[in-house]
Amino acid sequence: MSVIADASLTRFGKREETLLDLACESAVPLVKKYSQDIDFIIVSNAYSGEYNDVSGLNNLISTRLSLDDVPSIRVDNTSGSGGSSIMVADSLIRSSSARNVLVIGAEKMTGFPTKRSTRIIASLLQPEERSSGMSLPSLGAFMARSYLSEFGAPREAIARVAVKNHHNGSLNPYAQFQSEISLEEVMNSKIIADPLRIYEYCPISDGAVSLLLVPDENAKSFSSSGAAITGTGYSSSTSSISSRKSITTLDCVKRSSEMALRYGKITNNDVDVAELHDMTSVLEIIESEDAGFFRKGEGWKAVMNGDTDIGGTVPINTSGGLNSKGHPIGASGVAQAAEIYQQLSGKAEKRQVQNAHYGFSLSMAGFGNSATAIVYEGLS
Amino acid sequence: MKIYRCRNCKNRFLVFRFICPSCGMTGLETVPVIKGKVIETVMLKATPEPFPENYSVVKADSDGIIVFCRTLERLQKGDEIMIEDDDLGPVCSKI
Repeated sequence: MSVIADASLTRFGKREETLLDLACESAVPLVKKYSQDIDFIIVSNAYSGEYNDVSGLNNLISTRLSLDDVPSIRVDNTSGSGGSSIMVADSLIRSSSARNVLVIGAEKMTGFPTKRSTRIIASLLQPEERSSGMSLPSLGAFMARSYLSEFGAPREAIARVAVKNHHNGSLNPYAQFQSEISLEEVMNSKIIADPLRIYEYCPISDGAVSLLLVPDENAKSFSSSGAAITGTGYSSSTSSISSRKSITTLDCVKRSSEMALRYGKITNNDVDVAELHDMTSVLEIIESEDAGFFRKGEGWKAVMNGDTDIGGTVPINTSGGLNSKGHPIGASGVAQAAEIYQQLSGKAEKRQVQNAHYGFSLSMAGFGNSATAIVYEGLS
Repeated sequence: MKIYRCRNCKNRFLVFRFICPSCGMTGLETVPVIKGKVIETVMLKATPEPFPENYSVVKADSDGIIVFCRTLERLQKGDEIMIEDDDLGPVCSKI
């Protein structure tokens, strides 16, 4: 079993620094403390070639950190890169192939027009479907329309997810958006893909996060607190949208969540805090159902009842989620783990969930192409 | 617009496969698609390069296969559509 013993984040948002500098900004505090211990580096990044004209990112970063001879790899699984990186790090430690792994998630996406970014991200779609002018935001809109009509949910339930996550983001000093928004502001904001509006989508972001993962038997020598990774689950689904039986169910989320909870030997009822992949707000509702926190078609009621608020029965996206914290793609799944680490270590300050002991994160690639679910247990 | 059909089991797919997911045989052939029925439309206000501004993506049923195309028309669920290709991909209009 591995343990997240330490974490370091940059502020997410529009940043002037290069991708390399952002990655190192997050990693330097950990390297200064643990340079003699780190024996493997995993860099989570999806689009360094497309956005930054950089390849071999892991080698460039390790040299700048003066960890030139430490083995490193880059993991790219589009927006699920972060969860996949942590799964690989955990596997290396469990198999004794590495002892102390530095996981760095980094992405720099601003600087291009939105239309170019939308094209770059749409490149994960199958060409036969992408040629229709489909984009990731359009898939969110198809999903929202189907969900609202299938389950009779009110339109404002989706908007309330954005209101909640902006509130949580206002409590997170690393979030891209640090101000609250009202339901009216969401409902009157610019339409991106009808019926979804701009506040119901994640922004384009820059940012980086670093974690130190260590074997559980050594964890106490690094820190008195931490988050043990007690279960991971990974599952893929078809990347062909036209081949899916339903657009309101994410099979890979169901399977990966069941697997992680089973390996972690807990149930959904035990989870004190969860981070889900809310690229668009409707995804948080659907993932909360498919991950097993709520019955199918009832996730929207939990949002309306405040069950997913900080202080609710299952606080979701206490960090602000992708929606408010930001979504530097390769960094996002790593940032989810950093949030759970902070929550389970009692370091989440104004957004702290009281007595949080078990955590859960869900990092998703593409629009349900694959998902990594992780179950955590606090050490302290 | 074209879709793909397995020469062996005759199953059809929008997305090309080197191996048929139904029967495991190789060798898909192309089949033209010219008509469909609208299932759902989504109007896009933020579109990707190289597409123009302001169009709708249409999800349609064509003889049991889900296909996607774009349109400038305001289409409704159940509308019969004609599908053609322009330089960027499939476009549709109400019959």
